[in-house]
Amino acid sequence: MKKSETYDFTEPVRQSYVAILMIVYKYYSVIIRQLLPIIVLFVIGKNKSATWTDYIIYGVVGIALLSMVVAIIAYFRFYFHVENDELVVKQGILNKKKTSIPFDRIQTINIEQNLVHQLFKVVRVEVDTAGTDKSEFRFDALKIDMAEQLRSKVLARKSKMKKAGSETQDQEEVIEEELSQEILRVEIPQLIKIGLTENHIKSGWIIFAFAFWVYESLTDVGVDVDGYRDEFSMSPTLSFILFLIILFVGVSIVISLVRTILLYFELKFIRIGNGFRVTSGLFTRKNVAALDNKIQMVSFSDNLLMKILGYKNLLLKQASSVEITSKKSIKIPGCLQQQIDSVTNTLYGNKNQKGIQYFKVDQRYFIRSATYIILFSMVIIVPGWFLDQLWMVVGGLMAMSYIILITYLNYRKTKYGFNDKMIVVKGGTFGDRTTMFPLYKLQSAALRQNFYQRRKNLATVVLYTASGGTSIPYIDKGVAESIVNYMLYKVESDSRKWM
Amino acid sequence: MSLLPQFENIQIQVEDLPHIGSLELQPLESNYKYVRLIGWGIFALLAIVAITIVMINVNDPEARKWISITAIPFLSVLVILTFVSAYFGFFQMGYAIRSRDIIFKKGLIFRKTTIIPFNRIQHCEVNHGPIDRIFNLSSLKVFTAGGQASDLEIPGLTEVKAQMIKDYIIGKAGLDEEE
Repeated sequence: MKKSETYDFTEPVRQSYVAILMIVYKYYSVIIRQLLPIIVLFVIGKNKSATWTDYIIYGVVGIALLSMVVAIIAYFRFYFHVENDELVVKQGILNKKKTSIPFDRIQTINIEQNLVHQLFKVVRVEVDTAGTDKSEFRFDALKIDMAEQLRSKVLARKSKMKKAGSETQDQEEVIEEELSQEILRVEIPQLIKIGLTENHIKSGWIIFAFAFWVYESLTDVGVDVDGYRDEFSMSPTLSFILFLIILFVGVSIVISLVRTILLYFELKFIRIGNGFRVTSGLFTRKNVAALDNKIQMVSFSDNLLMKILGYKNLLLKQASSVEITSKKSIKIPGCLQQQIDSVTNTLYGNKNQKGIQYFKVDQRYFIRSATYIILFSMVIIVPGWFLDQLWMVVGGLMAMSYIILITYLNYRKTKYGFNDKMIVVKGGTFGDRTTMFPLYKLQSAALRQNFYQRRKNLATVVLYTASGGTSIPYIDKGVAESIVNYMLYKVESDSRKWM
Repeated sequence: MSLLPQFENIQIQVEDLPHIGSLELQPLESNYKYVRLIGWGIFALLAIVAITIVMINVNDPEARKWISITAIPFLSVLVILTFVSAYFGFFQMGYAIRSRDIIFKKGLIFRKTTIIPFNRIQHCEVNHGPIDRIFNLSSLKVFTAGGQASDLEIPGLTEVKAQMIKDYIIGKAGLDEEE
């Protein structure tokens, strides 16, 4: 097939030449995004006087050339090599910057390919680090072989260092390297099903956001959008509204379907070494890895549509440095319960999840929210009633009942349970959501009480991990305190590292 | 192998554990309430200045009338409330240091007790704000990997005390990591 070279990374090397293209593209997309209103104005503007056009063209060409030159300089000033188990990168256009990242700080190395990358057989490599410093960075384009070798070099060195460092690790971690096992592979028919059962409301919001963005950009450049609307103005009949709703639902479904196919095309979820790896994507192929010890929390959820097919979205939440970004949590759609079980069993062991008893939260969690919702709705409904505005009354009542229903469902589904190893918190509204993590991954705990909770002797427990928090709302204060006490005890008497 | 003795340990320890509810919290330095009041005082002053500037620049008498009957009462209520909560909130604040964790409690209406185990502390720092400096006070910030929401800040400590707690915590956190 292809001849694979071996690289030793001791000498400073540059990226693949394709990187120039990627850097230029990166600069251009930033510039274009900044200048979009001006460009729109230029295209649809009315006063196209000759000098005005000339200036714009000179400006555009000038900026284009300048950023091209800058990109080329940036490319030639970028070197990297491996030295003493550290990845050393030298870069900078005017002043040279040297970054060295010790291997044990590297969290994962993610490989990604967009269309251009695929064409030139190169990849984009993202190096994620843990810790509070912002030393994350990416290679714009590396040859596939080089990237793979760099990754395996880092990972191999990492696990070696770890073994040398601590002999008394868990039994779980003995399951060693290079053992790759497929957990899930998504084929086209399944992918379509996943797309159809996605959360369409979310896609609906994207339409809204897009429409709003178009409206804003057009208003920005001085197009009288409202004026156009007046020309089209007609009294909205019932059938017209119905048509709009159907159109909206239809477009939402199409958008979520397209999104799913773009993101999760040929999704492969495998167990490799002591981590998981996910490959997916149509135009942009993504390859992300999650090592066991970096995964802080596992969460899975479904919705009403997914329930019919038994599909669940699995989220592996990894430790994040400065802030909690969605980038760090890997989403795997289309998992069946048995696949999720196999993941949690590999991560936490079967016996550690046994004997978890679930408890409900206090009913006042629902009662209090419902009271507030009713009070707020009355602000709309009562004036509507007195002003004879039927739509305000009907709309208010409908919204109120819907929100109360959601709150009730959420109250019914919120449950928590734990044993001496794990904590599990369940929630959801129409669907179900389960979040779990081993007790030793806890970073800090908090007890919260508002005025109402204090009067009723209730409290909310908030448990924070390095990949976000989870809370147990409205439980008896004494119970809450014992839970926090116990969790703290477990954390404080456990010498295992959370990462 | 090592799991078994640890497990037995739990059964004994759970009852012995000092309950967070029954903890006796250390109050902050009493001068700290002035720091809070001055802080909010500056905020109130800025708000008043902002309103005055707006009033000077608005010429329309109708608009002026509306600003004075909406913004001024609203602002005064807000200012009074912040002063009240700044003052009374002070008495709800307290901290405790146990042999394995640090606890901070705060909040007048929304009470929050945060507990951070020493073996989860990433780093801590002692800060002196400009108003703190007038009263010779410091605040101690404790960071975990859990992000901002899970971090903890104990204000209103004397500089010596803040430094002492910091050293103690760092010693403890370091010890646990070497185990």
